[in-house]
Amino acid sequence: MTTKRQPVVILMADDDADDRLLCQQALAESRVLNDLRFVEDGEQLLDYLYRRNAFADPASSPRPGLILLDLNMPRMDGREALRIIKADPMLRKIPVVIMTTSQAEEDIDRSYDYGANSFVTKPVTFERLVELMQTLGRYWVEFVEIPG
Amino acid sequence: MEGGQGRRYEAISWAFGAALLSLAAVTVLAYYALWLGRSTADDVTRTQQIRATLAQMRQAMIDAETAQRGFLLTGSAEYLQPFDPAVERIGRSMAQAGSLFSTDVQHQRLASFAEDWRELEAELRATIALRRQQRSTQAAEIVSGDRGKERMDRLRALLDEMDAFAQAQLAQREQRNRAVSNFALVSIGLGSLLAFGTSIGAYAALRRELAQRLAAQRTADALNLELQRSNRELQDFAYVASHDLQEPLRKIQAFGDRLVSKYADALGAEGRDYLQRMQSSATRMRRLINDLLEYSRVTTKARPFDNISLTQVAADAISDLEARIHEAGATVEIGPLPDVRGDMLQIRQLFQNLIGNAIKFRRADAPPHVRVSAELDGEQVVLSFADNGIGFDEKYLDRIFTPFQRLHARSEYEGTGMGLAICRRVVERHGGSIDAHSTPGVGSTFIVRLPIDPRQEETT
Repeated sequence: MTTKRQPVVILMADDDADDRLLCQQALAESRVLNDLRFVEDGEQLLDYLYRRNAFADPASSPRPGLILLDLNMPRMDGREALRIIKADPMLRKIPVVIMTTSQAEEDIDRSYDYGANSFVTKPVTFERLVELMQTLGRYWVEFVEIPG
Repeated sequence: MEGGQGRRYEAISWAFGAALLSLAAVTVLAYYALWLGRSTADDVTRTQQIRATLAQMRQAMIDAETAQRGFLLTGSAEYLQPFDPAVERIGRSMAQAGSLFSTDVQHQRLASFAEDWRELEAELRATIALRRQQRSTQAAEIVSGDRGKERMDRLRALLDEMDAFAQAQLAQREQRNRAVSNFALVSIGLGSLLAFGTSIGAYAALRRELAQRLAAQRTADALNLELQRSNRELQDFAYVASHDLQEPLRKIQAFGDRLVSKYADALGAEGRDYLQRMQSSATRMRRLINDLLEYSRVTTKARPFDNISLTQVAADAISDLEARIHEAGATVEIGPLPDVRGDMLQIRQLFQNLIGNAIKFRRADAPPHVRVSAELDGEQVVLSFADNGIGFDEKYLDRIFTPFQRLHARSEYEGTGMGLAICRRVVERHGGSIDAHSTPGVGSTFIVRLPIDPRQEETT
């Protein structure tokens, strides 16, 4: 069993600036070792993962150990991005946690169907958000083995 | 049925009635005419038979006389041979005529004929006997007597009369038959025309009616489709609106939390107070949006009715209220409840709201107790939700079921004022009604009437 002590790159895709800020702060307060990066929509996410356009320089796009993915985004939404990521043998090993305000049965069903690793509804209070980040962090970063 | 429709129905009924009546009349007349034709044919046959019989009688008479004369002249038995057969033929013919005649007059004539013939026959036989005895002269005397001739004339006259009468009778019958036939033909013709006419009329009226019905049905279908579409749009709109409306509220709450946790000291007591009021407003607004959504969903997200066990629904509602029941130390008593037809989720909501209210509006000095019972009243179930809570003044009865109307300040009891409004909407969608009685400080009873088998409601 390998203990990971170096910070894991967590890549968050969310179009909402407030949500990004809140998550950043929550993650910071959770004291989970991490390197949190942001993209704002599905296209940027794929640009990052495929290291093209703005993210051509590999230094600017280290491979993430976890992706936090919002569903409702402009240009390309999370559903589409999820489908593409999980269909690509190069990318599908990366754990993807859907983080969204939607509670629709349809979204939950389809996300798991496409291969999402988890589906989480964004909590209302900040406290809960911190708890969530802690849990996520501990689970995916400390406990779970992530493929190299 | 409106007046116009009623009249049209009547018109169609009359038209059909007339058509059937005409057909019946035509049928009856046709049968009568046919029967008449056959009886006429029978009459003709019978008259022919009568005439034939009479002719036979005439001929037989002549034969008998000829035989007698021949014998008287020659004395030869050969000439006499046809005599007896002829007499016999007359006898048979008279009998036959007797059976063919149908009128008293003819029978009387026949009787006269028979009488005269008997005499004639006697005379003939007498002369024949005389001749046998070689007493020709005496025989000849009888023959040449006038009496014989007169008798013969009478007999011939009778035969002529009978014949003429039969013919006349036949002619009369034929004439009458013809008249009746003509009448029948004309009537049948007219009757058929009438039957055709009214049938076509009835058909035309029916077709028009049908076309109207079809058009109305199409309109209804189109409206229904439109309504469904409108409902769907409304539902989508409501969902999106509530979702997007709640987004900013979530942020307000979240950043409010951040302020409180990170800058509590810097804010000071007053600052924290302001912040807290802001946050509770945001929370209230979220609840309001949820309740509004709930209220509109009663009709837009209505599901088709199904058989539901109210006992099960009550149990589900209580299970959802578990935490609050426990927290308030409440007791909920559920009596035997029947099965009804309805939307299970909505009825559960109804139970949840009413029982929840009973617990929420409790007295400070008594642990809340709710009793749910049911009674059958004809086609309806009457549910009672009785509590020992704070009660309310019955003059506010109308207000409490109105959306957003509250009887207490927000600080006293939480809630958006939608709970009972939602209850009323659910109950009304099921074709029932809701009412309440209360004594302030003692308790309240909410009465819900539900049809056991409601007709499916299609509209809002």
